[in-house]
Amino acid sequence: MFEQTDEKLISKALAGHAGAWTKLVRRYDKAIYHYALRMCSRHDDAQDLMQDIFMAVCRNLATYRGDGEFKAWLFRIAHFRVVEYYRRKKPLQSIEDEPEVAQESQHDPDIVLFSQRQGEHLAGAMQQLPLAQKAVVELKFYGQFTCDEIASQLGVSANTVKSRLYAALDKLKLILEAQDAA
Amino acid sequence: MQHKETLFALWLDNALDEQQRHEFEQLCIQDEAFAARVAAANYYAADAAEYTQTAMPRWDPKESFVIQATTPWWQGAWLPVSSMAMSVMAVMLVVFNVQLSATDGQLTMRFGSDEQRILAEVNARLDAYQQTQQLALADTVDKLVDQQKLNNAELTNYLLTSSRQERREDFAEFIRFVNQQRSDDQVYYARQINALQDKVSDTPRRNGRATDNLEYQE
Repeated sequence: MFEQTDEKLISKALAGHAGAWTKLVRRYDKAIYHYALRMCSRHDDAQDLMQDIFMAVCRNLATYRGDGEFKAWLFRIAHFRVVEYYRRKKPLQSIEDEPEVAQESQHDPDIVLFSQRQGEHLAGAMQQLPLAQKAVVELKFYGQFTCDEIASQLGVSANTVKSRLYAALDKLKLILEAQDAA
Repeated sequence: MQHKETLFALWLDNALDEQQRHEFEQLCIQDEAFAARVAAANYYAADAAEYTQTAMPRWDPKESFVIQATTPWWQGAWLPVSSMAMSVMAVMLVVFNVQLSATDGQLTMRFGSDEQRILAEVNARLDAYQQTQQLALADTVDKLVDQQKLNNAELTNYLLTSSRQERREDFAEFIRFVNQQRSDDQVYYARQINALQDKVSDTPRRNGRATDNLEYQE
C-alpha cells in the first residue's frame, strides 16, 4: 500500500539496513538476470553477472546522486559489467566484432539456445550481433529506454546509438530471414 | 540518411511531433526499405513484449550487500570495552581504598586506611590550633603590656598633676594662713598700739592709775 521509493530504500541501505537492500534488489533482480542472460547466453554466467552487477551497484551506491532514475543507473552499471565480462572472456575481441555464438553453441551445452517460438525470435537473433549493437537492441526493446537514455547508459552519443540501432535492425532482419529460410 | 535515423529513433521513442509524424508517414509510403525497417522494429517490439522470463535461480540478495552497517553510538564496540575498563577501575579503587577529596580547590587522591589519615589530620589540626593559640596568647600579652603601659602612664600623669595641684592648693592655703596671721598680727599690734596709745594718752589724766597700768603690763 505504501511502497517505499527506490531512493528511500537506497538511503536505508546506505545506513546499513540489509533488509532495504534486499527489497531494492528484489525489484530489479529478475530484469537484470534476464538482461544478463540475453547478453551472455549462459545461465551460470548470467547468475554470476547478476551478483557481480548488484555487488558493483552496492559498492557504488553512495555515488548515486538520485538525479535520474535508479533503473537507468542500474542498467548503466550492468552494461559496464557485461562489457567487462566479454573482455575477460575474449580480451582481444572488440565490442564491435561479430560474436561466434553459432560455432560455440555446437560445442558448449551450457549455452542457452533461444527457441523459435514467439517471444524468443529477437532474443535468439540478437545473440549473433556484436556486443555494441546487442546492448542497444536489448536496452531499446527489452529495457524500454529512449535513445538518449541508452546513450547516457552506454556512454556514447545519441547519434551513435541511433546508428547502432539502425545497423542492428538491418542485421537482425537478415539473421531472421536466414533462420526462416533454414 | 541521418534524418531517417533520427525520425526512426524518434518514432521508436514515441516522441514524434506532428510535422515529424507527417514526414515519417511519407517516408514509410515512399521508401520501401524504411517501411520494412519500421515493420521489423514493430515485430521486434512485439516479440520482446512476449518474451517470457524463465524462472530465476535461487540466490540471496544479502550476499551482494557489501555496505558496512553503521551502528548507533550506543551499540559501538567501544561500549563493552569501556564498561570493562570502568569495572576494573572500580575494583582497583575499592581494593586500594582510594579516597578522593576536594579541599580548597585541590583534588586529593589518597590510598590506604582511614586511621593514619585521621591521625595525620588530627595532628595537623592540633598543630594549627596550637599555633593559632600561641599567636593569640602572644597578641593578648602584647595588648596587656601595652594596656599596662598606658595605665601606668595615665596614673603617673594623674599623680603628677594631682600632687602639683595639691601643692599649689597647699601653698595657697599656706599663703592665706600667713596672710591671715599677718592680718591678725596687724590687728593685734594695732590693738596693742592703740592700747598703748590710749595708755600713753591717759597717763597725765590718771596718774595714779598709770603706775597700775605699768604693773599690769608686766
